[in-house]
This record gives sequence, structure tokens and C-alpha cells, in this order.
Amino acid sequence: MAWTLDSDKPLYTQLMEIIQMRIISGYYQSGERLPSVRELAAEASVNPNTMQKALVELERSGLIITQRTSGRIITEDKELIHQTRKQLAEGHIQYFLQHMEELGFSRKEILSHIQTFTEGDG
Amino acid sequence: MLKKLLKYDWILMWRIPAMINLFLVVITLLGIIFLLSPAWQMDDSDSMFFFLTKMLLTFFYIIFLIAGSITIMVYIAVRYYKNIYTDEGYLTNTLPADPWQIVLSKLLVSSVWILITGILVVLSILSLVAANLITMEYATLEDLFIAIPELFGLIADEIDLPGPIIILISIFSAILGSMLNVLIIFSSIALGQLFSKHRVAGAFLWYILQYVIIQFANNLLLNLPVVYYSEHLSYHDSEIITRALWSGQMLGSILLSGLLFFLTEILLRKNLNLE
Amino acid sequence: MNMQTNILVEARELTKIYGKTLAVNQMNLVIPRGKIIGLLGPNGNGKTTLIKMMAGLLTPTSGSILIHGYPPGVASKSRISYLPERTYLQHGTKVCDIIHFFEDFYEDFSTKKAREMLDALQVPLDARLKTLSKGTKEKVQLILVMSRDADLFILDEPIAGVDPAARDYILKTILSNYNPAASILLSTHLITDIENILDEVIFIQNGQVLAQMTVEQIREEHGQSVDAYFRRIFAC
Repeated sequence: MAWTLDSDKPLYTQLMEIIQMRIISGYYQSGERLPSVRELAAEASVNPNTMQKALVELERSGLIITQRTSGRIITEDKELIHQTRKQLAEGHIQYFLQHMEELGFSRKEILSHIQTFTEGDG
Repeated sequence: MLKKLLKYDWILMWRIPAMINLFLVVITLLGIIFLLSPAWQMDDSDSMFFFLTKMLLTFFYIIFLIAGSITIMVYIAVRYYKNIYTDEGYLTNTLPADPWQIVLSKLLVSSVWILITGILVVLSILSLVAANLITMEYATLEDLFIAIPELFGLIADEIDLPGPIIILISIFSAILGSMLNVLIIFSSIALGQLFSKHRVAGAFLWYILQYVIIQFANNLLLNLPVVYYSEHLSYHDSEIITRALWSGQMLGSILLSGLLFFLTEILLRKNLNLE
Repeated sequence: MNMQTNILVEARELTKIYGKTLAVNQMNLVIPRGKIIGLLGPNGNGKTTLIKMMAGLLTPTSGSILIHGYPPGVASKSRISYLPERTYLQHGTKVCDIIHFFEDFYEDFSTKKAREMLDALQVPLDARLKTLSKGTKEKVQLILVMSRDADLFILDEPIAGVDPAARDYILKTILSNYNPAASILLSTHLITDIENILDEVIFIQNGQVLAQMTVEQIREEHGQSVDAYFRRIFAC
């Protein structure tokens, strides 16, 4: 998962999304120690203060936990990761459906389209 | 800080002056060997060829002395200019060092080289003259060892000062002279920076100007007392004249060196413009 | 403590005239601590002149520039790490000699840091500078500058004329050595390449500060990248 960033949206929200994806996809394992702010900032080529802000926001959601001794770790609450994953999936589905409906497809048509598409794909 | 600057200034500029001086030593040794060899002892009148060769060798020796000395002076000027006023200056002038330390360090290292060169040139000439005297059978080596201290004693008597003091004064004036020479170069370069364009040409101009003024002042200093004393004092008072000249010259050099150092330092501190 | 301690650099009515050219014109500017700041503006608008006055390489024609409240001098030079836009290293010297030089003169220089970075770059310590490529030489100079633990890093056009790989290397080197208590002032005319690493930007035009704002401010208030915003305000 590369640090691909858009230049006209606030950076820290984009960074949050990328880290969130990394946690959900298992790139960062549950309970694992997260690299330091400086390392992450260097990796993403972004300002350390911006990275800090993204991490603080993620702490608020509970996905990242700050420990006094060992820095930041990924939550061990697998349920929370699962929930976040589900939420994100729902978001994507909603987004998709909205666009398909705008194109004039009914829910039924969309479903059958998906079916043919996935079968053709597999 | 001064110690560190001295260390790096020394490392930065020892090679070329050392090479020139080494070459001078080699030439002198070859000269001595040649002068003491049978070839030189052959009678000139017999052979035009030997006469011309001797003349030519002497000529090249003198040319080398002049060229070597000028090269070292130019090298000192170039190193100072490059290290402070060109790209290297971006490093030199952002070091956590006071401008006076930067100038003093370069002054000391450069003066040491001028002093070494000066001493070697004098020694080279003296030893070649001595070798020639021996070859011509005007004197033996022992004669010279006796004659030199005698000559020295004569001078000491003339000026009416003890020998060791005269040696000290000579060393001191040699050091002072070297430093003054270097400071004339440094201050000319610093003054050249006052021009908005053609700063190197400006430095040359200042150097020539300072050189002319100092020569003029020196001549004035040398001649005035002679003119003055010749009317009032007898020949026996020559010791007074010599002393007056020495102290006048030294005082003048000290004052001038101080002034030029101050000028160079203040221009570096207050008017540095690396464009 | 008063607010003074959070101001690293302050310019007041700072002016520099070369001959008849007005390079910096009565500029007022404050550089705070703890920020990565971009000094942006087209070439020839006074960025380098301003930087050189901070570094003490140019004497202001009028006005003042203060670092930690004092004009440039020994104190400021021991706390500023400066990367000029040209190389000042002598070609004949060895990499390890330059490290010793920095170690001797700058108390805040970390030899360990420098060696690690040179190792990673695979530059042998006994290599002479003239044997290195131009790009590597520039990286060596950046490593030396970033191996100090200074209060203010001034980097003049560190990414001008380098390829994307070198640019990434340079930005990563800057970021991985960044100490949150220090500030980095980075001048450039190539904004897109560096805007993600900046906290603040200072736009310079005709020797004056046109605007000083945070990057977040530009993105949130104007919904534009700094580059797009820059193009807009310089379009006139």
C-alpha cells in the first residue's frame, strides 16, 4: 500500500485512510508496534507534524493505542478492526450503488451485473 | 577555535610552499657541489663555454629565487582570496569563529611560510657565496667560521648593543617583516571587496598603492635622519643613527601591521558580501 | 518564559541593494521554532539573498536580521546548519577529512549519524570528492548539514536540478533527521515536489514577503494545493 497522496485534499485525512487500510489489510498486525512518527513521515515523504495529527486522529478511533513505554501499537481489539473493515466496506458499497443508480441502473440490474462481472472474471 | 583554524589552514596550504622550498634546498646543494667540483675551478679565461655556462647558471639561480618568492606570495594571496571570498567562503564564513580568528590563523600560517622561505633564501645565498670563496681560495671553511662571528662582533660594536640582543632584534624584524608583507596582501584583498565589480583587479590596485606608499615612507624614514644627523653629529655617532633607524622602522612596521590587521578584520566582519 | 524563545529568526525592514538592484526590500519576517517552512518564489526574487543574510554571508544595506535576538555571529553560526546552493567542498579532500572538519568545528555534529548515512549511500570514507559524481557530492554535503543538531537548518534549493530518485532521497534524509524542536527553512521554486513536507510557506516576491501561511490553511480554506495557490497568486 503505497503512500499515494492527492495534492488538493488535506493531507492528514489521506494519511489516516492509508494507515487504516494498512491495519485492516493486516499489513500492520494487531498488537504490532507502529513505526515512529519520524519514520512514517520519512516513508511517506510528509511533514512529521501532519503525520502526528493523522495518528492522533486514529488514536481517537481506537485503532491505534499509545503506550507509555513502547510507543504506538495497533489495537489488539480484533472486533474493532473487524468493525472498521465492515464500515469501510459499507461505505464503498454505498458509494458504488449511488453512482450506479445515477447511471440509471436498478438494484436488480446492478446485482446481475455484478454476478456476470465476477463470473467472467473468475 | 584558533587552534583548530590553524590546524586546517596549515593542512590546506603547506604543499606548494614546501615544494618550492624543497626545490630551493636541492638547487642550493647542487650548486654547492658544483661550485666545489673541479669543473668550476677551471680557469674561465681558457674557455668561453665555461664562462657562459657559469653566467647562465647564476642567472637561472637568481631567476629561480625571484620566481619562487613571487610564487609563494601569489599562492598566499590566492589561498586567502579563495578560502574567504569564493565558494569555499560559504564554509569558512559560516564556521562558528570570529573574523579576527580567521584572519589571524591565515596570517600566522602565511607568515611562517614567508619566514621559512626568507631564511632559506638567505642561507642559500650565503652558502653559495661561501662555497665560491673556498673554491676561489680566498678563504677556507675554518676562516669563514672565524670570520662570521668576527663580522658580527664588529656590527655589535658599531651599534653598541650586545650580540644576543642584535640576534633577537633581527629575528623580531624578520617575523614582523613577514607579517607586514602578508597583511599588505590580505588588506588589499579585503579592500578590493569594496568594489562592486572587478574585485580581484581592485585588490591588485590596492596592493600597488600600498606598496608604493610604504616604499616611499620607508625611504623617507631612511633618509631623513641621515640628512638631519649629518649636519649635527659626527661620524662617531653612527650608532645612534642606526638605532634610530631600526627602532623607527620597527615601530612603523608594528603600527602599520596593527592598522592593516584591524582594517582586514573589520572589513570581513562588517562588510562581507559573497554575491 | 516569554515568546522570544520561540522565534528563531526575525527580519525587520531588512533591505539589501546590489549596485542598483534592490534584492530585498524592507522585508519583515518571523521564523518560529519547530516548523518545516518553505521559502517559495520565482528565481531572482530575493530568496537566496535573504538566506545569505541569515547565514552572515551578506551584510544588510539597512534594517536588521536577528537570530535568537542577535545579529549573525559566532553564536548564530554555531546554531545554524546551512546548505548553500553551490558546493563549498574542495575536490581534492577525502570524505573522512571533511567529517573530521565538521566534527572539529561544530559541537552539535554527530559523526555517527554522518557515517551511517554515508554507509547507506555506499560512499567509502576514504574516497576523494573528485571521484564522486555531482549528485553524490551534493548528497554528501546534505548529509554533513543534516548530521548536525542545529536549531535552524537552512537549505537553499536542495532539490533543484535533481532526478526524482535523488529528490526522494533528499526529502527522506531531511525528514528522518528532523528534530521537532528545530526548524527547517527550505527554499525552492519547485513547489509540487516538496509541499507535502511543509508546515508553512513564505511567498517571496520582489524582495518582500507576499504571504506567510500554513499549508493546512491553504488546503482547507482554498481547497487547493500550495502549487495551484502559488500559481494563482503569482499569475498577476
